[in-house]
Amino acid sequence: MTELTRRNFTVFAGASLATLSTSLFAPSAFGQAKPRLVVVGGGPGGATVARYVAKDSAGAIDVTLIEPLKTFTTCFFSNLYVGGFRDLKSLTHNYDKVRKSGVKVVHSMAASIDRGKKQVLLAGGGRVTYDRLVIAPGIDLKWDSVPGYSEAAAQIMPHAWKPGPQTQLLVKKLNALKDGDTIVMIAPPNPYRCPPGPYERASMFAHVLKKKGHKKSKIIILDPKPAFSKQAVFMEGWEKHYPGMIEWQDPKVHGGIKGVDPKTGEVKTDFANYKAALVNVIPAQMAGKIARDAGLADQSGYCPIDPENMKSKVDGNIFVVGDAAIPGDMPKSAFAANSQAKVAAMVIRAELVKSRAFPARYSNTCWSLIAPDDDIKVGASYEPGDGKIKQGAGFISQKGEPADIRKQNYKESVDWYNGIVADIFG
Amino acid sequence: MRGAMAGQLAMTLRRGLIQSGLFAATAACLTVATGGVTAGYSADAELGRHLASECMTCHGTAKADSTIPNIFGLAETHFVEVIRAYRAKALPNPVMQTIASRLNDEDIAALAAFFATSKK
Repeated sequence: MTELTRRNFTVFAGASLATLSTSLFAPSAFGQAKPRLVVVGGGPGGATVARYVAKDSAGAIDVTLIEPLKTFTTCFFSNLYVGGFRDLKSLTHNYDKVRKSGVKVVHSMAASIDRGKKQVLLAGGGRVTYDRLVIAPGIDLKWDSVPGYSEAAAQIMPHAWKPGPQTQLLVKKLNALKDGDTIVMIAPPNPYRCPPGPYERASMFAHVLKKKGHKKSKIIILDPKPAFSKQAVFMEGWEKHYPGMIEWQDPKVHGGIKGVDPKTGEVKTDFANYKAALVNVIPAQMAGKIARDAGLADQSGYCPIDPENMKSKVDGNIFVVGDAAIPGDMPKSAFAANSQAKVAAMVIRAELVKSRAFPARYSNTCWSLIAPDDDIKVGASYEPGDGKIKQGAGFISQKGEPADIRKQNYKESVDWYNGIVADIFG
Repeated sequence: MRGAMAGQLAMTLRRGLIQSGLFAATAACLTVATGGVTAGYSADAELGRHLASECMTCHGTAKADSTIPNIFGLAETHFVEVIRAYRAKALPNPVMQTIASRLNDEDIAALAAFFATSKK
């Protein structure tokens, strides 16, 4: 049943009267309800599902996107902001074209999900009923994964793993560094958003310091992992462009990350204490709160999905796409979220309006900038297999590649950015 | 403009083939194979539209000077040639080689028909 309450009405006050009469009044009044898709989260996964279902169903499905922010700043390419290659404005997008594609965009925080009633409850009051729900809340940070770190400490030791003010704070601190200062980055354990991201960020730190003429500054990466994405080509690039500046320590080298002290700027490991002018703590991660509160996550903190369709393994009316999902062999990336969203959109249309379904296929490519015109990439195609999203053919940049290939990679990444944000936001 | 794009892609194709030393042999194969595709498959429009969503991630906003080319309005035969060349790794970009590696002839024909007749 469609609820029509004052709160509902407030939620949709921005919609036209004609739209309101279709979406809220007509279904319950005449029993001719359009099937309802509700999407929680307006990032690469959520906005893509919403837009693709709306445009491909040509109005046959009522699509509502719930996203608290009126503009979305992409996490992907935010390292290029850190490096001074982009401004934040160029990474910020609104939902005007998402609306034009037929999606009702509700700028409100989704507080919880009542799976029994198939409703999303909004933080400001009101509820939205769904036939199918897509959850794409991205990640939450596990603040206590690094002893001494907290949400409050992030104002001193920024994580900058969610874009916006945190990234601006990181850049402000980076730009204030003096030659001889030390940056310590604490990298996250797997699985986390954007596997090459911390190492691209370290590259961008080094680029900024080199450009400022720093000779003595150091960047120390304390990693809880024994290896990282594109490691060989990153390390080759660091030695080429920033010799001696970046030091990566795996657990055998640091012996364990003991904690941070935001008051003193100290970072302690089993074998050393560091006094750093900039500490970038990227904590362990998990699915966004709303997904965990709805019981969609397992003990890993992320949400198991059916690789054939991106449906939650917990609730067949709910799909989970993007960083909150357990994507098998796929990394957590915007490209992956966008790819998963298209599978979910195809399945949702097939279920709600009997459109034709096709076997699920996924793909991903991640580009990383090491230095100006020196860009590396990794990618693969994926399909369901062995009960997960399984990797098929793939590639990775190689050591010693010619400069023109790396330059081409960078240009390609910029063109990809333009393409994917148009695919997500219209 | 579209003709120019198709020409640019075909030129890229030939350059890649020459660079890889496979031009003569592959060109002969392509001629035969392309004829086979157009003769042997009637393009599945729904399949083409579905598969094209993967292409849109990168190709949706391509401009004349983009490294990622505009593929809207590309002649079907050119499209088939290029994707088959990527599938055979006769063209160098690993992103496209990976994408093309799981496309069968029916998929390629469906995509070629979709992009030949679609506008951005």
